[in-house]
Parts: sequence; structure tokens; C-alpha cells
Amino acid sequence: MSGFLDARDIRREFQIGDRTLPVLRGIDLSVEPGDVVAIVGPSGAGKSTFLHILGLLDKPTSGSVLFKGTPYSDLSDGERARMRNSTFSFVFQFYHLLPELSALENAIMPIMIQSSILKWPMVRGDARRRAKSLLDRMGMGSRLHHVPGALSGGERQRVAIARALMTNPEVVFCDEPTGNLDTVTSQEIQDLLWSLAEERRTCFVMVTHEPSLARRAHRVVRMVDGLIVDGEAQQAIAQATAPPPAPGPADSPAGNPV
Amino acid sequence: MIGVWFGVMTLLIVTSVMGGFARDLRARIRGMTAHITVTSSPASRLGSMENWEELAKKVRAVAPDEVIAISPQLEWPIMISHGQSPQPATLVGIIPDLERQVSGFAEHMLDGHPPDFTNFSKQTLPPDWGPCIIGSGVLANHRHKDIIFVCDGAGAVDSAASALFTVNPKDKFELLVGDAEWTGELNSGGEERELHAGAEWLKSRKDASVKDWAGALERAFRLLAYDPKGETRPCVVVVFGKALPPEAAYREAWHRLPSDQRRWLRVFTEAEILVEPGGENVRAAGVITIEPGPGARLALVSRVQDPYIGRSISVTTITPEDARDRGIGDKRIDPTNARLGIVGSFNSGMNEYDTSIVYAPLEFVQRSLRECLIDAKTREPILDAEGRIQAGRVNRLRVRIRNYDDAESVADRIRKGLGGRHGVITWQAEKAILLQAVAVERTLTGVIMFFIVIMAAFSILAILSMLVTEKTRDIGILRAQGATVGGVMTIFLGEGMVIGILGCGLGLGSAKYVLDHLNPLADWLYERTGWYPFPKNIYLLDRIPHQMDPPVWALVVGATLFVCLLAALWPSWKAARLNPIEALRYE
Repeated sequence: MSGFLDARDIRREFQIGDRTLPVLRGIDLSVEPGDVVAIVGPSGAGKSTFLHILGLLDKPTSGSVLFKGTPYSDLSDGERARMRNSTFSFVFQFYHLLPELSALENAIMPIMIQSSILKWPMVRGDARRRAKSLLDRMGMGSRLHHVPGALSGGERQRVAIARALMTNPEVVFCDEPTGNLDTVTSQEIQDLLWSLAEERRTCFVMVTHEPSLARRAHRVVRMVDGLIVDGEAQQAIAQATAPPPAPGPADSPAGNPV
Repeated sequence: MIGVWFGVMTLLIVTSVMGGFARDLRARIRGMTAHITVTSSPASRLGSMENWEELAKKVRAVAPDEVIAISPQLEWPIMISHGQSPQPATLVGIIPDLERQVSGFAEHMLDGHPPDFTNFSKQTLPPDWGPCIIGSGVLANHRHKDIIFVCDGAGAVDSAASALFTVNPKDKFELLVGDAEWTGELNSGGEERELHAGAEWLKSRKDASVKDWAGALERAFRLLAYDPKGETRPCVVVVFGKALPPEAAYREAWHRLPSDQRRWLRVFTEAEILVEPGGENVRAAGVITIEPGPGARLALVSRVQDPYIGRSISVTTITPEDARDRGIGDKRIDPTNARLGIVGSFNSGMNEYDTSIVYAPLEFVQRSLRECLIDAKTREPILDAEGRIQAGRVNRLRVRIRNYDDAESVADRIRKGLGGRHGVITWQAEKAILLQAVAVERTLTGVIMFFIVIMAAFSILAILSMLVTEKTRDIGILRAQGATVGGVMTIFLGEGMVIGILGCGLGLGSAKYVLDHLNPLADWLYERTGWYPFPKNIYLLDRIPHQMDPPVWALVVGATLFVCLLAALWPSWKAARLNPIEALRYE
């Protein structure tokens, strides 16, 4: 128990019709500050669901998650939203940018959400400056005013990463950040994530199928059928990633109530 | 938004026009009804006041600052025998100089006739007749139906024969061809036969021609002008001829008439008739469009606008309906007959008055009702030693006060001041049912119109629901970035409110525009389609009234925004409740 980010006996069940489908069956995990943790495992192992629970997008059926010793799964909706906004952030496989907004505006969004209408005009200038320098840092300086539709997949993911870092979060959750990219772009994004992680000493928890990405993590956690198997075994990576990456809908949690 | 726009616009226009109507109606009621009426107690036509001047002094003394004018009235229900069927009306004895200060009938006199009984020279009326001013609707059934044809030559006679059936006179028609004359009486049934007989007669006189136009026209004019013997009298002369009479002939015939009869007549030329067939002036004179046949042209001489003047009516008093309640049986009050010559008519726009009121000089009415005013105790007519009615006897006082809104409080003071022996009612109380009906109608229309707004609100609901579905992923993104339930809800509520506010703004603006240009718009519509949305001759207002009442407008806008907010609430709530993972799951 590290006391930074802890998951204790997380269970998550999905109700499909009259059947109960257990997806997570008691997961314990501790993450240290500044850790880069890769969660690997075959499709349907519950990796994404676990990440969602850690990142406050979902609630466990039982068990608790603690941040700096405080359980946060059962906080009020407002508190959870605030944590999602400022303490954690997400990078998704499918970027999830707002299509109407430019790259810059998308990156500013978390700041926009956290400030009230009255405060917004005051923080706006600063937020824009920071977003610009972040995007610059990612080599997006010339594409600031393009809408996501005009950006390539890699560029979109850079915008999504900039957005994730805007609020200086303590933990960044990445759900297959390179799962939708070609090899070259994927490599670029991986490099970018790594350099950011080193530079900022921010804790990254990522679900990935990329052996190259997992190999660089401080820790690799392997999940199978809703359980963590040999959490620390580095050699497990090879087996875990042996099946070809199968991104897309098939990768969503098994409990996906279609 | 367009739904809200039109909803708000319709609602505002309709309530404003209805408000305008209500306001005008109240003004008209006030115009024709005194602000306060003092009657004997309890209010009844049978109870009478001995000396109105003394009572009037008392009323003035009670509220010297408020009371502006007092007019005595002696009012009695009557039946008018005129033409075929008797019809009920109210005979009101007035002193014209006092009455015009209290009620607005003077302003409503048709053709600018003086609002008193001097219009017709005294000597024209037989000695035992009284002059009267009647509401324009009292004899409405008998307007425009009688006709005189003057024909010259073969084509004209044929034309006239066919026109006879077009015009379809009601009571009587006169045909003048050459020196011969034919009168058709249509009162006794067999109208069809009578018309055919008239037409046959016309055709039999094809070779006759008018030698002395002035003489022929004079005869026609005399028939048209005042005729004390006839109750039904033609109101239009139509002249048919190959060539129309020279202008000099009209002028000569005109000058042969007694001076007080000349001014009723007006000559329309053929051109005028064709320009305005059935147009205002000609219609008032009672012409139904006549087409001149082949070989004939026509001119028309009509009584100017008011077709009543010079007619006479017989009236019979009837026992007021409350006589029995007062312990006076029917038998006690014998009907009295009187004859009245019409010297003017008024049109107040209030149907109730226009179709029932017959004003006559007070002393004439007192004389006529000599036998009708019965003492409640002795049950004998109230007469003085010489068998005459007292000069001060009336059955109500009409009071005009400075500010009609104070009527209630002033009435209270008068009621107390007179020691409770008199009934004192205000104009609102007198017309309570009508005023309430109008108010209820306005409210109901408002409620019904508000349903349009509610419909519009449903469209907001539908649009927002669709938007929520369409934007599910974006909502999920916002939620994942830490937007709160409240934040997401605010976005969609805001969307709804923007629609509501824009709709209200557009609605307000366009309603204001339409109301400001209501009458030009109505005219434009009339020019384009021939359909007039607001027939002037039905409503007797020359423009569509409206009243923009700021509190009502504020209420409409407030209620609309509220409904829009309610409509936005459900989709917003749905949006806010979306599970972010569900929202993000599908690509």
C-alpha cells in the first residue's frame, strides 16, 4: 500500500438481462507517485473497466479506490467531477475531441469547464498561452486552429494529450493511446508520452497492447479474466501481447451491454 | 424557435386586439349608459319620482365635485308596429339638452342631424304625434326594401321589369311610366304574383314616354319624401331611360319640394352606381345592385344615408315584466298608443341600444304614459287634479360623473345621501353580465392561444431531445473532462432558453409591428383578396382596435419563457444523467 493511488479488492459486475457478468473479480493495485504503469492483457480481461474505475468514469460494484489515502469512488457527483477535471485526466484510444472546436480550444476545454462563467474571461488568456506552449511542445504549433476533422490521427492524439496535461493532473490514464495509430505515428506518440512522463514526473497508468510501450513502463500489470496475474512479471509481456492487437469495439470490456 | 415566435406573436396580437375590443366596448357602454343611474327603490320602471329636479339637486349636493350632469328619463317598454310584425323596443322620454350631457347619443347621430327633436319642422307632424330619434337598428328589418321606378321608353321598361325581380322589394313598389302609375303592395302575401303583375304592367306600356321629366321626378320625389299617411315608404327612386333626364329636370323637381324635404335626397349618376355598386352611400340608401338592361341607362335618386327620417311608427306601451311583482296586475295598466315621426337616428355601435331605443321628448312621453304610471298604494294612475301628469315625474335619473372609474364610490355616497330610498347603480353593475362575458372571453382566448406556446414548447422538447441523442459522445467527453451534472444541464437549459428568448423577442417585435400596421395590413389583404377580415359594417368601427397592455405582454413573455424552461428541463436532465462511459463507448 503506497498511499498514493490504491485499488483494493475492486469488483465490477455488469447486469445483462437476468445474468450477472463479473468483469473485475477483486483487483488490488498500488501506484507510486511518478510511476508509469502499463496494464496489459487479452481483450475482455477488464483492463478498460478497471481504468475507468480508477479514473472515476465508473464505480466499482464493491471494493474501494483511494487517492492519497482517501477513498474517492463514493464521493458526491460534484467532487468526482472536480477530481476528474483537476486531479486525473484521460487519453482515449479514439481521442474524443469535440469536433466543432479547434485544436487549441479542445486543449483549453478542461480549464473552461473548471472555471465559472464569471471567472472565465480572467483565466482565458493564461489558459490559451499554456495550451499554446503545450501544443508547441508537441509539435502542433502550426495546427492550433484546425478542427479535429482536419487533423491526422497522430495530431489528434497530441491534442488529446495536451488536453490531458492542461490541468497539471497528478495521474494521467491512457486507454490504448496508440491503439488506433499506424506504427510510425504510434512510435512518435509513445516517445512523446515517455518524454512527458520523465519531464513532468506525472504518474501515468496506461492500458496498452503495444509491447514497445509496455516494455518502457516502470511496472507492467497483466490482467486475465478480471484478475491480476503475476503483476510484476516482466516476461509476461511477451505472452500478453502475443495475440495480435485487436483494437476497436472488440476491445471494450466484456460486460459491454450491447 | 419559429414555433415560439409565432406562438408569442399570435398570443400577443389576439390578446391585444381583444383588449382593444374590450376597451372600446367599455367606452361605448359608458358612452350610451350613464355612469350612475338613480332609480326608485327597488329599481323598477314602475316606481317613479315625483319631482326629478328636487332629487337632482340632492344628488348634486351629495357629490358636488364629481357630478357633472344629470338627465331625467321616463322609460317604458313598447311594441313598435311597423310593417308586418310588431317588435319590442324601449321608449325613453328625455330632455335632449340634458341627455346629451350624460350619454353619448349626440355624437352618434347619423348624418350630423341635431341630437334633438327640432330636425323636422313642427308643422310637418300632425298635432298629436311626437317626434322621435331611433336607434339605427330598430327598424333594420324594414330597411332598403321599397322602391320606385321611373321609366321612359321600350328598352327602359324591359330593363325595369327585370330589375324589379332583382331588387325584390319587400313592402311596396311604385312604377311610373309616362303619366301612368302602378302601386304594388306586397304586405298581404302573394308577392310573386304582385311582382309579375307589375312587370306585365310595365311591359304593356312600352310605347309610353316621359314628356315632362321634372313632373315625373317631382312625383317620385314626393313619394320618396315625407309621407305622413304611409308607414312604409319607398326609399329609392330608380330612373330608367334610353337617355337620362337632363340635370335641369332634377333641379326643377327638387325645387318644387318643400324645403325641409329637399335635403334628404341625393342623385347618383350611372357612373357613380357603377363605381360603387352597393358601396357605402348607395347601400345605406338601400340599393341592391341594378344592371341597366340593353337600350336603357339608369340613374338613381336616393334618400341620403338615413332612410328612416320622415317615416313614422306606431307604438303601443306594454306592461313591464315586473308589474306583477309590484302587486299591480296586467289589467291595471292599459296599453296606450302613440304615433311618432322619426326625425333622426343614431348608431352607437352597441347593438343593444341601436336595436331598442326610441328617444322622444320627455313631456310627450309623460303625456303618452299618463295611464301607465300607477301609484303602488292606490293602484290608480298618478295624476293631478286636472287629470295631468306632474311635470317632474320620471322613473330614473342618469348621472354623469367626472371620472367613470370612481362610479362605485360616488354611487355609494349618493346611495347614503338619498337615505336608501332610491336604487343607485353604476354602469359596471348595469352591464355586469356583458362586461364579465367580455372579460371571460378574453381570458379564455388567452388560455387557448397559450396552447400554441405550449405546442411550441413541445417542439423545443423534441429538438433538445434529438440534440441530446446526437451529442451523446460530446456530452461524454465533457463529463470525462470533469463537467458536472449541473454544468451539462446548464448547457441544454441554456439552449432551450436561447430558443425561448429569441422566439419571444421575435414574437414581441413582429406582434408590435403587426399591431402598429393592423389596419394597413387589413386593407392590403382586402385589396389583394377582396376579403376584409374586419367588416366595418358589422363592428361599426372604422379601424381594428387594439390595446398594448404592458403587464399582459410581460405576463405572456414570462409565461412563455417559463414553459420553454420546463420543456428544456427533461432533455437537459437526460443529458446530464448520461453515463460518461456509455456515452464514450461507441465510436
